[in-house]
Amino acid sequence: MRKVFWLLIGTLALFSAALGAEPRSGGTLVVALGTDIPIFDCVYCHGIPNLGIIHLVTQGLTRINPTGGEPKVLPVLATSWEQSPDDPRVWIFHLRQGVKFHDGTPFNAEAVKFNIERMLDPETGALARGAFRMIEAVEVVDDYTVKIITKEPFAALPAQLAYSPMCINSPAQVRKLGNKEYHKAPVGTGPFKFVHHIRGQEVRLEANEEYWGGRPYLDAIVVKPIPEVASRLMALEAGEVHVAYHVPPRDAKRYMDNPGLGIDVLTPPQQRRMFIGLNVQWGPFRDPRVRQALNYAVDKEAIVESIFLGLTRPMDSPMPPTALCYTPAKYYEYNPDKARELLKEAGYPNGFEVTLHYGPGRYLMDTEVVEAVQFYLEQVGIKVKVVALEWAAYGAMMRKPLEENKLQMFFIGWGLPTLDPELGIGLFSKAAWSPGLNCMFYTNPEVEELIKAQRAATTLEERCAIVKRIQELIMEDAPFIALYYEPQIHAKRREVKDFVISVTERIDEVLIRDTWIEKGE
Amino acid sequence: MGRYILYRLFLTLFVLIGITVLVFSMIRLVPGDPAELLADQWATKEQIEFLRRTWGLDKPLLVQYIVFMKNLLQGNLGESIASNMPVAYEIRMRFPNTLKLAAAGMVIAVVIGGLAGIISATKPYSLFDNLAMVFALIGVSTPAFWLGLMLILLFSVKLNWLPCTGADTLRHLILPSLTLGLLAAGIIARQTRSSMLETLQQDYITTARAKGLREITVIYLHALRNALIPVVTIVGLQFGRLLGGTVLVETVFSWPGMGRLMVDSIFTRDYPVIQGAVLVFAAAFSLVNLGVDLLYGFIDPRIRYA
Repeated sequence: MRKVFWLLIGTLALFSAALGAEPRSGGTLVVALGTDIPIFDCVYCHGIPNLGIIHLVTQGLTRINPTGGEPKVLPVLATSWEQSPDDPRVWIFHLRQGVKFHDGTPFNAEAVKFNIERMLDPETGALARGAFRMIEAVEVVDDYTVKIITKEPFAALPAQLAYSPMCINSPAQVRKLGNKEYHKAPVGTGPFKFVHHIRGQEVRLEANEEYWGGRPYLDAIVVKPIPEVASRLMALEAGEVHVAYHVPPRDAKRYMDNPGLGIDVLTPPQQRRMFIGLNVQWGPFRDPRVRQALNYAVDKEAIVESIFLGLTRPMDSPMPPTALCYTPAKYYEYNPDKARELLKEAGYPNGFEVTLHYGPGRYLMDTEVVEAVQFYLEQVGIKVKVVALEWAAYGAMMRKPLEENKLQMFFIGWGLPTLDPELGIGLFSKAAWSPGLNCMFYTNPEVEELIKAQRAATTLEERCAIVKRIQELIMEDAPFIALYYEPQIHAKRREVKDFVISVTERIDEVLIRDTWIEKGE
Repeated sequence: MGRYILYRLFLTLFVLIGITVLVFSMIRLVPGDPAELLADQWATKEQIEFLRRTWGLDKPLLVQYIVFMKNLLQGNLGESIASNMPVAYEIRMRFPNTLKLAAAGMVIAVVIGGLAGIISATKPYSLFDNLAMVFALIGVSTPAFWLGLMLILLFSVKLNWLPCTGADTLRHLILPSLTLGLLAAGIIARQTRSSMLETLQQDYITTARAKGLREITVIYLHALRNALIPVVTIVGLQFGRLLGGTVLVETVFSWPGMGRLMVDSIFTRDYPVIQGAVLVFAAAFSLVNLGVDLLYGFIDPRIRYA
């Protein structure tokens, strides 16, 4: 009887789905972020989900494929691009024609030049200026062609331009309001126009009737910061918001087990690598055998299964599986006996004591993971003292140069918003030592050479072959305990259709046009 | 009276100057600075230093303080690092929200706490008294975020009566102010009860009753007014606490008030905003205290300021 009932319900659901499959216009999509958007200007804003909202108004030249699949870089305002065969430093970008900014001024090569130069101008004070420092010059070839010249050959340029702080703003508006005030009335080419931004309260955007990709189905988007995760989920369940960012695994499971709640769990592909960094210039960690032993000592699969309910996978490369040229370089299976053996070989038969720092609350389930690692290391004789610090204080510790750096082990996540090896493996070089992010103080002459070589590679095959070798070398050197890729878990109400959060944690700035709400408001 | 107020305001000025010194040095001594925090993965040492220079954080602490004080005297609290907006603007956007929340919470607390205290005191050790005091104890010891979440669960998720986040309408105010009010009501109820009990045993109450006055007149006109002094002190302190202590409630209800502005600013080390916000809190707290002191004189004419 019950089977028949469920069958009936299922058929009904299918029917209504088939009937309702036609997208309808109207409605306001309400999105709850865990963070507050401090300022509505890509150049001064931080936090990838925040920047993703700004991109709905001021789009980029390129974007990362939201599925993390091939090709990695997709067009937005640039339709195609090529590296000059004569000079690998020169890139030609072909621009979308007939696009207008919300203020009616035309989008063209001048606008691209203006925005890249605004990013690079020290006077602007852009937070991410360093991410574009490889660019030497931008030249206007004609209205819809722009030439970008890098200081050295830089294979990752199209992916780099997809990095969130790079937005194309209306030059007329920036000039009118000035750099500092521009955020009060930003003007872009996106599917949504800026209405207002009340810090700490809401951002409101309205549909751009003249969007180059066609008017979006939604009439408006409202974005609210709801920092407390329990409140964010209750707002979702109460129907006050349609989308909630960053859902803990146990709540995701609750939604999946109770379809009656009408909430779908979104699990876009992962790109953040979660690991325990090991200061390779400190005591026992100078010996690679000790570092490998630690990798064998931790049961990554158990962590993935019990803490993340299988929503992700263990780390087997310094890059995430969604990255360009990713290869499963080496997986340290759980083998405590081998760990003990390696420790004995290295002269630590009785283990040693070490301090692990982390900043609780920053990453999903971080305290649980740190405690699990502490437990596993204890099993092979390593006594781990865990020190929890507030994030900013922890960050200050990480930015200290080698001579002053007190970190021995630290739990950290490295995002890869460009899905490109340049950043994916670039941080494992001496150039990125603190105050850069490499506070493992890892360097390997062969890796350093190969990192330079991949930049100069002109074909993808050539580049990936080099990058594969780098991944293998880093995994073998093990400057970290490779743990897992952080799962992205978000949730939306079922009446919201065709809504995509990208691998980069941004709402996709192009696909948002197709998002629609079944029941209207 | 006027001279007394001027004198108190003069003292407050010194308190505020002391607070600027404390806050200014404390937030800079805590590890972590905005340049390190806001710079991204590609940032180089030069870029971090450049940002520091942009925000004037490369100068010696004393120079930074002098610049800050100089601007402050001209009524300029500086600019937020995170939002590029004047700190005064950020505070103007947030302070009224916190004030609204604290005031509504206080009204709820005084009405519920005061009434419960008075009734308990007139019928001591009755069922009502015992129940009220148990609830007061619960109120005093319940964490704000827990009560807030429970109220949201009941009234927003289960019953769908009230919105759980935001601050657009009066309806949005109900749950957060109830959370604040219920918690503060506990203390006020207990204080009112004990103060009333003491007053009701005074000779003049017996006299009033002997005169044949109605019990209600005895309680509300003769006893309450005299029992109010300690109650007003507690209410004043509570109001100050509510102003500063709304952080948790503002977070749970994502209420755009000062508490959240301050927490966000501390996490990103937005020094100018932290300084400005603390200063405003301190000033508000001092003024509330002054107000309470002046109120004593109205309640009890024996108290005079010269």
